[in-house]
Amino acid sequence: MHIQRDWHIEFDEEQYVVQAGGTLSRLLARPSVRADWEAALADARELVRPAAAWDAFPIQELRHERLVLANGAKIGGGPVASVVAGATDLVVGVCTVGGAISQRISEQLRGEQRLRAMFLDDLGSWAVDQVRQQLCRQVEGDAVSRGLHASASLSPGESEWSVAEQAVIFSLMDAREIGVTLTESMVMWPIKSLSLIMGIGPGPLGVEGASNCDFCTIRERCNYQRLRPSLQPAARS
Amino acid sequence: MKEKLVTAIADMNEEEAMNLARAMLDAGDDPQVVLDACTEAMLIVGARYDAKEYFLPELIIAGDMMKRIGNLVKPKLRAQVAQAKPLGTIVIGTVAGDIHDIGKDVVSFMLSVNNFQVYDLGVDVSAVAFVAKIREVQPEIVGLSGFLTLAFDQMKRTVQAIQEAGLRDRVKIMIGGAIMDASAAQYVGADAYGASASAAVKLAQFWTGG
Repeated sequence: MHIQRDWHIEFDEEQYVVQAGGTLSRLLARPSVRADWEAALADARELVRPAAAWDAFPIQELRHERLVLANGAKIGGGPVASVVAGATDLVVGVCTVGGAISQRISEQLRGEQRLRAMFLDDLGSWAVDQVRQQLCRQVEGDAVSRGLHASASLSPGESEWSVAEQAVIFSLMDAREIGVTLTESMVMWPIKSLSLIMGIGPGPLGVEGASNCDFCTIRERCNYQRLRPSLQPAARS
Repeated sequence: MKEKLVTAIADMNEEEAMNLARAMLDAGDDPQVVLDACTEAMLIVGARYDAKEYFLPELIIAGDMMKRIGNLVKPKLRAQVAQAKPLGTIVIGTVAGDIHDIGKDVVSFMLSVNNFQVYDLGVDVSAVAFVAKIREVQPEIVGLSGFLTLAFDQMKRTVQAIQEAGLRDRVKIMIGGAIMDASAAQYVGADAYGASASAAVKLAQFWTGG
């Protein structure tokens, strides 16, 4: 299992304003809103602890729309089979930015610092998505360097893929190594965490070049997809 | 001055709004007029949110202004004058197994500044706890929040528990969360879903005739 913590997390105000909608730039001209935003930025930069763990498992066969891995584990449902169609290996991963951000948000809500908490919540979600994007590009880059193809990534709970499948991901790898656990109700703790899969194979795969946004059923309501084109590639030293 | 206060709140001019509210109260204006201005302003804010002119930050800022103005008004209300009767009582919580709270907190806050008595049970709230609170405070409305698709089943169990306790016909139930929609409301047995904090307030006002 690979573990990596040196992910680059960037909180750029201009990018955030793009994501949040046009009125935020106007609101940020107000001293009180500016103060809350800058406090949230400071909190996010102080508290973010990016980490990812991932591993790859040979795929034995596709049976009844579920992938059967060489170790006997079964995973699938929803669009999984079509997204990774043709893959010979399945990469599973967990990304997190740690629990301190969520703790600070809860403190701020109790202290009625709602706008600051909202900003920090957004920044925390954005940060874990940045870890995800960088991990996926790294896995894809590694595959390409070996003459292989990589599929789009998918997370349990996205599209029609049941969030219950997170239990399979967590059975395949010990995410406690990066401080992430899964409750019985399929909530990851820390809450600013996500899990994902990607397919790797010798030829073109089911869906390549797409992002997980393409499979998401709430993309019309989502602010974060507006951020995706502006994210810069990771520069791992 | 009332109209200026309405405009100041609706246009997110916090300092001007607070100054106007203080000036009105210092001049001896009826505190209820100040509260009415807040209510009118929140309607405008809600309409602008629905029109996608405003977003969540504006809702929160407006709510904060309401709360601060409310704190100015309350001491001015004479004991014999009844405070504005709440439009209704709401019990809200994130259902068992789910710990997402920020969306629910914004809804709770918006309902409270729109003159609802809100009992927020927090997160990971069992069906039993919902039923107990409903029996205790006899709300008109119950709000179930959940972020995960697995929350659907827990919401369904909660609604069933309310039914089995003989309380279902005494409450209106709304659900909310990122993935909630009309089909989810039907599945869990709720009366409606709130697509946003603003929508939840409107629904609550509609149900209570407010």
